[in-house]
Amino acid sequence: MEHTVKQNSEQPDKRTKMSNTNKNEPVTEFTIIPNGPIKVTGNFIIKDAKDQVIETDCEVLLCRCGATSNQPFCDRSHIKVGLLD
Amino acid sequence: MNSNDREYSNKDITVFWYPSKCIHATTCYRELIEVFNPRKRPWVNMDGAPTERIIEVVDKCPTQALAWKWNDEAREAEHQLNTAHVTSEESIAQTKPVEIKLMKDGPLVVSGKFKVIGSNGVEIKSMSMTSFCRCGASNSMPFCDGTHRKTEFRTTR
Repeated sequence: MEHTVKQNSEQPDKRTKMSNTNKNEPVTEFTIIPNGPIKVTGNFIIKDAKDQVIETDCEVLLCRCGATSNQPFCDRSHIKVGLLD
Repeated sequence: MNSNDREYSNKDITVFWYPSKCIHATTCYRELIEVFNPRKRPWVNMDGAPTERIIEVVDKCPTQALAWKWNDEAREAEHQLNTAHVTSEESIAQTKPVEIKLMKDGPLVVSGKFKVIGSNGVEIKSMSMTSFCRCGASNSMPFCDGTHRKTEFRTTR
């Protein structure tokens, strides 16, 4: 009986494979905040114009209004600018 | 072929321009203004640089809005074989992180596998390449439409 159980224990492998397949689905999300920045979550890197990687957290707010003084990140300047979608 | 599509040739190659695929990454004119000048008509001048240099810059277009082929058929057949090889190598690398590239005085160019959720909370779509406006003046928010050139948007990073 123990043997049977052990053989069955190979079953979860298939499930692992299934979830690996699901990992190929996009998990990195760009959420557009109305009249505000873009929220980025998931697996991503940011590179500047010279291809240097900018260190970030796993969640960032990227400026969309053009008025931030901390490019490329949001500094809440959009509230003054009144960016309209 | 779409009616807005264009072809430009020199003695060696023909460059194809598919405006509907352009995400205004600005790579072409930043790299080679002598050939790709959006302020001139026609905007592509095939006499502006050697063929090898034009090929190099067209190959950097992130969306294939620019493409090229050898005018010589045998040479082109060989080129197509090489291109197919590169594409299959790229499709294997699916687990790479999404790359967000900050374009100088321009948009955020995003490549990889990702989702975009619109300002109404509804998923716009899953994509592999796009560019988001960061000048605030786009008429097709949240995406770049090239308006940053007119408004002379400047970036510090």
